[in-house]
Amino acid sequence: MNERFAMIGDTAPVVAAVTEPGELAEALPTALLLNAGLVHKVGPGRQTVRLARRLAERGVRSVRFDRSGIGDSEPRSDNLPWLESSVAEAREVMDHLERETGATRFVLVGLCSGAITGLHAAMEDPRVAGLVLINTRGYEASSDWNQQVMNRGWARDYWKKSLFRPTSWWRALTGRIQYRRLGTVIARQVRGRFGASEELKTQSDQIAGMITGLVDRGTELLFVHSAGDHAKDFFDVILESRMDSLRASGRFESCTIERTDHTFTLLGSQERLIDAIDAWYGARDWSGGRHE
Amino acid sequence: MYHPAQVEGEGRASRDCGVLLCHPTGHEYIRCHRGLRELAVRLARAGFPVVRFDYAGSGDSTGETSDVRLADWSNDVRNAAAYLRACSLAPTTCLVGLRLGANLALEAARELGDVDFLALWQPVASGADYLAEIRAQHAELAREVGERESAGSEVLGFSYSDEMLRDIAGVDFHAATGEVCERALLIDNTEAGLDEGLRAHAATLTEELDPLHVPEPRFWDAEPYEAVMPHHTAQGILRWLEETAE
Repeated sequence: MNERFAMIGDTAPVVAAVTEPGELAEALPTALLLNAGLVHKVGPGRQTVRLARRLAERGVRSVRFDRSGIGDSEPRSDNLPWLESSVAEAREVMDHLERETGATRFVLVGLCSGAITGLHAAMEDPRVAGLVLINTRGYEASSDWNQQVMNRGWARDYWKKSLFRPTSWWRALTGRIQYRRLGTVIARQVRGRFGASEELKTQSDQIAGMITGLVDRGTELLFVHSAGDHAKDFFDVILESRMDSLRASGRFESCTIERTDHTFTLLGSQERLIDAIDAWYGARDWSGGRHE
Repeated sequence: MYHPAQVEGEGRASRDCGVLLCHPTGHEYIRCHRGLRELAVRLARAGFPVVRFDYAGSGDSTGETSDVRLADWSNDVRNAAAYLRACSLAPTTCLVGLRLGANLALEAARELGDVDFLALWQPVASGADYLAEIRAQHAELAREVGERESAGSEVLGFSYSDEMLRDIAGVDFHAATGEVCERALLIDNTEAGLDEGLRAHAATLTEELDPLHVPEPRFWDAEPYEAVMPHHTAQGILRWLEETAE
């Protein structure tokens, strides 16, 4: 394995680290490891470096890069909105790798906002043969929808955890909780029992359409959630009713990593995350052609 | 990573002083990365050639933290200083170190013997206290997520050998003796201000000590999405360098 660094792109060159395996497995797509939020290309707790090096053992070439304004990369000067620029930069990295290495198929791996970039880049670019979406929240959809889904998660937390914990009651009785949030959550829960709001359904359908469209196109999908993370609430709201057909496609998988936080800070959880991605990479049939 | 001095424009010239930035370590390094990169850019724009680097086993460098000892990181600082001199040809050198990076910069300055200036940014006064603090953060997170307590070798996503943990526990700012540079800046971001004992001891390590108290959030303690760039401290370092390295 060796690692080299490159400046990629014309408008706003990004700083990238390309990890080349000792022996390249030609059949396996190149992995693009996207920034998790504002953390630079080494990833939270350096997990992205560890993932790149693990994938190299499997024969996978990967590239970790800092999108503009993050880590080692300069900010853009063209005022392109976040999602547009992050998708454009991911595509430029694919263009570069296609020119330099001949790679025509890619797997995008993103955590949190990186997953949003990955999803939208996959929608725009048929070279994306696989997508690993880790703890995806919000989906760049409306803030109201976002809030409603988050409320589901908070409600679950209240019902499952706080309700039976003496310290929670003590906090409530001594005024040390967010009464407004609690009130909103309960009100929304009650309303939710009489049917999901139209907006919730419309937004969910739109995102579900994106995901099922990718699966229909032949893109391999892996969703990863930290146990207890609100990302799982988004996943359930969006895909609950479609789960059977998605799983039947053979191109859709999901898994939950226990005993971890949102960014997989602790080493044990990083290992479980990397094991899951590595195993998924190895179990897929990547022999298909371009995913038009 | 080398940031050459930006000397385009009338009347601009590269400064005579090259600057080496010594990051903190472990989780603090990741949290500080962008802030220190911004400092490097700001210094380079002011005409100072700057080098940033990742210690062995951290960031983009090879290996894992479990493979290295503190002496390896000190050696990395010396190698990076040599790289800075080779790239910039600057006749004088300043090491800027944050947290444990400040202690490593101090150690490297002593071993090199020809470092002119040192900026010690919130150095670790006691390695044992520092280790206790970050281990407590680790234990709290492990409890929150229900993870079993590790054997003690991991701190917030970074694994250290027993020898390395002993090295870190043995760090003692007050144990450093003798002058190591011509002029030093001691930076403190706490509300309370500079610890008098630390300040008095730092004064013994240099011909001239300039204290800089700038109450600003501890950006090495904040998650990257919450971190605030320490603009006032960065500006303070720049002004001090402009005055010192003239």
